[in-house]
Amino acid sequence: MRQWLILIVAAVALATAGPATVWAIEADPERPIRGVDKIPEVVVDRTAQIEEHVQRIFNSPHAFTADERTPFSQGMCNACHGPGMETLFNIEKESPERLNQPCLSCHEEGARRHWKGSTHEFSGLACVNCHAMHNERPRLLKADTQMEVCGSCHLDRRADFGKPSHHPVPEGIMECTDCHNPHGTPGPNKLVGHTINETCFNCHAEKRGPFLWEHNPVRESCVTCHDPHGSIHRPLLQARSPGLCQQCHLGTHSDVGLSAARMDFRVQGRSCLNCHSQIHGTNHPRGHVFKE
Amino acid sequence: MHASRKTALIMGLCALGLIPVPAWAQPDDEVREAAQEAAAAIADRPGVEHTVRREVRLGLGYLDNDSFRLGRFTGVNEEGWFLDMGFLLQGQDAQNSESARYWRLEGRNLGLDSRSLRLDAGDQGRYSSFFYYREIPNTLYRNLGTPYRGSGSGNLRLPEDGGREVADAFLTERTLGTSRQGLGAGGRVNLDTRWRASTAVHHERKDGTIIRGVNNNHFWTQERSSLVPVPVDYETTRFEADVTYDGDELQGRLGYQLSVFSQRDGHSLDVPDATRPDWSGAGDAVGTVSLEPDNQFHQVTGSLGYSFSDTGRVGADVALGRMTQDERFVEDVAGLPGSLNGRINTTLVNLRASGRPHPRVNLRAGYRYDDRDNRTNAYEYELDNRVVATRPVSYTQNRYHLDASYRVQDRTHLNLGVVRDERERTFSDRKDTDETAYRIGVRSRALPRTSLNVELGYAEQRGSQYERETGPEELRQYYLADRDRRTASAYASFHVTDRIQVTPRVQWIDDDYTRSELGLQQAERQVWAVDLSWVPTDRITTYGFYAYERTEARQAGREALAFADPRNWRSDRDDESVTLGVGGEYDLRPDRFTVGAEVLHVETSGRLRTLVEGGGGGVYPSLDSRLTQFSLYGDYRVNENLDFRLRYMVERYREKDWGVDGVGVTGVGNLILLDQDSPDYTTHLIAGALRYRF
Repeated sequence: MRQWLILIVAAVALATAGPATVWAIEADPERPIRGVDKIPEVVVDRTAQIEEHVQRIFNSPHAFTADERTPFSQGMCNACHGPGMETLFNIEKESPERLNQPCLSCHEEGARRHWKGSTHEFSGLACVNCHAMHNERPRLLKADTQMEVCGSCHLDRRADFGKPSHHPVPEGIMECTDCHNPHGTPGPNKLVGHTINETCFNCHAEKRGPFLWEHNPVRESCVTCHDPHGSIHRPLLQARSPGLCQQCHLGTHSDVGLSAARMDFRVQGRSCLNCHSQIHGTNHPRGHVFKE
Repeated sequence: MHASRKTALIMGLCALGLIPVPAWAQPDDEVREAAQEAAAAIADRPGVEHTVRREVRLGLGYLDNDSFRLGRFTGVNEEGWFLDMGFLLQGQDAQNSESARYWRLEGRNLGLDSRSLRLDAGDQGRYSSFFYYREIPNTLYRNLGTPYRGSGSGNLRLPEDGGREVADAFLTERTLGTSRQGLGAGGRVNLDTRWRASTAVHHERKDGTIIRGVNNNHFWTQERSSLVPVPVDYETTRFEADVTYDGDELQGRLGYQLSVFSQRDGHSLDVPDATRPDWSGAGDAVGTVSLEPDNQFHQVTGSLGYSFSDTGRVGADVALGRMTQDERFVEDVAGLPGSLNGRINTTLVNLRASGRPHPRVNLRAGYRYDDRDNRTNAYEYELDNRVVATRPVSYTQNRYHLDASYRVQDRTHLNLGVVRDERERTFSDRKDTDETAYRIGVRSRALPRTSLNVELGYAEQRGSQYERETGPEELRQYYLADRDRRTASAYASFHVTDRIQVTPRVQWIDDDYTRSELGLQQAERQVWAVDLSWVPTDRITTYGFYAYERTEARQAGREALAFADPRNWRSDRDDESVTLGVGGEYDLRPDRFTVGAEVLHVETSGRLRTLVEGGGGGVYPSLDSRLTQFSLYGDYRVNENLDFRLRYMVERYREKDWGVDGVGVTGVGNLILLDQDSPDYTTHLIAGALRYRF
């Protein structure tokens, strides 16, 4: 048994000692991979792969010479790497500022306008932490999907998408950038809207109002009650009713069922929403308690 | 060979293998030299022709059992065969030609309810355009029973010979869900090297059936309400246009956006009352439900940014918006006009600055003004002998933040930050709240191939006098209440060797609301997560991930004021989730045959316990879900043009929800619920797909 164990370890070790190549994965979001950054940043024999590495730039938008903004129209490789290839974008050795400088010299515009001073910039992230310029993936991302790229740091958010109630990000229907711009925005939490609610209303405009009867916390922020990434309570709720509602309401009847862990109409079915189903607001003249 | 010598030899090989020469030990000069050679080579690269790539995908699959979770958003969730077709056509000019035209047309999931089509075309640096069509299904409930006929339509009926007590005998089975169908087009033109203009229009229709609680205006003591399958059929159109200026130092943007929401099939719905003992003549006892009213949102946005050095930048954003709604009310009521004429003006101003006044110091500061000015009239009118008053909500937020980062030593930074957030609200139990948050952290890449971030935070939310209009007086709404928040987080990434990366992350948030006598008292959330990726050989990649999350909360409450001597109670909530996965890929024959596998397990639970002053209370059953999924796939390249993929997946999914399981339609008071049970299934999916490139 011990011999077998040793042999297995040895086999693994021998394999590990072999020369490695750049780990290239073809973009295919249908693959059942949950977004782990499965590509260690280290490439063992970097010189052996340099030709292949360089050639991949031709699959990227950076290689068009007809676009006068691209590096290939302004000095080829030297435009980004310097005349003597001084900058090799070695994440381990360079500072983020130095790594970002060639990129920002062209890309401090458009969706990157808020990069300087953004949370990611201030946290010392470099463009090459998420992007690989020598590849053909959409937006030159380092991995196949945004969930892999973003999830490699935001492990908690990635786990949220596995919960029973979640936005369809792991299914490939939505992407992180449908709601967030990782380069910074005028909104909070790098949201694409100027406010949390503005972002949500892009897809849920029916909840925008104005309504005759408004529910205060809903108007202020959807995340007062919802966790948009994922939750164990449908639909994306931070807690289950009636507990969630009782964080703000203890009225004529809302506490009775809860106080004895009793099953009744206040806690079963949809709990408070059995009756108060118009909780986002209503235009019904009889909607003062959000039932109509 | 002698056993001990053999062991020594094997162990030696182990040592060699387990401690490989670090890649980064390779001198950069060698890499640089190789890069220079490669760069020189590509400078002389001959021109190539305009390239066109075509790819057609044809897949066939089988699902052996209806599922709820698997395929919920893609449409592969009903037992039977499914066809998955797709194509990709793309072309682009040669990299060194005089133009940089490109086009790309892709169709995905064409045989499924999640089909999509997208076209991108343009001339890079000159213009770009896009068009798309997509459908997104969303299965909400599978195989539930309801006594309503015509469910999902605007013509809901109840069987004339039925009634509340015998509702079980009149159920029809339905699977409910919605579908979004979106269409969009847009483009961008580079007017010159600095000016660009872009525009886009997106139109989306959502239709289907959802569940809604309908009370039919019964008083709460009667415990009468129904869960009704009601139709949704509405559309949203968004239009965006902007002009941007991108200079070397100065960048600006001026934009406009319009969002129009409208119902397609009326603004109200008549719902017969299923809680009546006798449904004969139920058409006479319909309640009118108001659907979401049509509304519009206009917004003008402006943004300016100026870089005064490599690291220094100032910027400002302004967004002026207006939300309107003037849909006719479903009922005429004395004291109310015929429609709301609702209008809300929104104003957002952002000012920000960041820079590096000293090589070791990085600073950023910002101010945010966010105002929601609800200009809608407030109305007071009589309803069922009771005066009610509307509360058009307005609020104003002023937020200031300052962050500093000091480079303690090479690649190690100390971060400090403070945020002050002040809010004013109308029609609120607390008119003003303010929060001051402090944080301190360290991030370091000082250790070779290691990055580390640690942050601690503390925040206090306070506010003006709390003035409740309704009892109990001691209750504090949790988002307005006094709160002390403590946070801690740590994130690290280790390249243990060239081939092993470990990434742990820990987060902890503790909210203390104990200044509230009633309401939320305490909430704590902790997350422990780790990723592992290991590339044991060039042909094998493996990974694993684990995440544990726990949220605990404690609430204090009081029995209804109607009680002569209401007792206080307490409830404790405990939510947990565990996510665990391992997977890997093996290049069985490099560039020809790859196989992969993944196992995913997600388990969640929600527990609630109540404790009543003086004795009593109890524990609710646990809300559980358990997902176990195993996937196996293989990709085989038959020849230069043809690939074949085979995929097998088994999913076991189960939920337990005491709120609906075994309750039936009439099992709770006078409610008419849905005959539904939580999902519990095992399903196997096998699918094969051919991809032909030409």
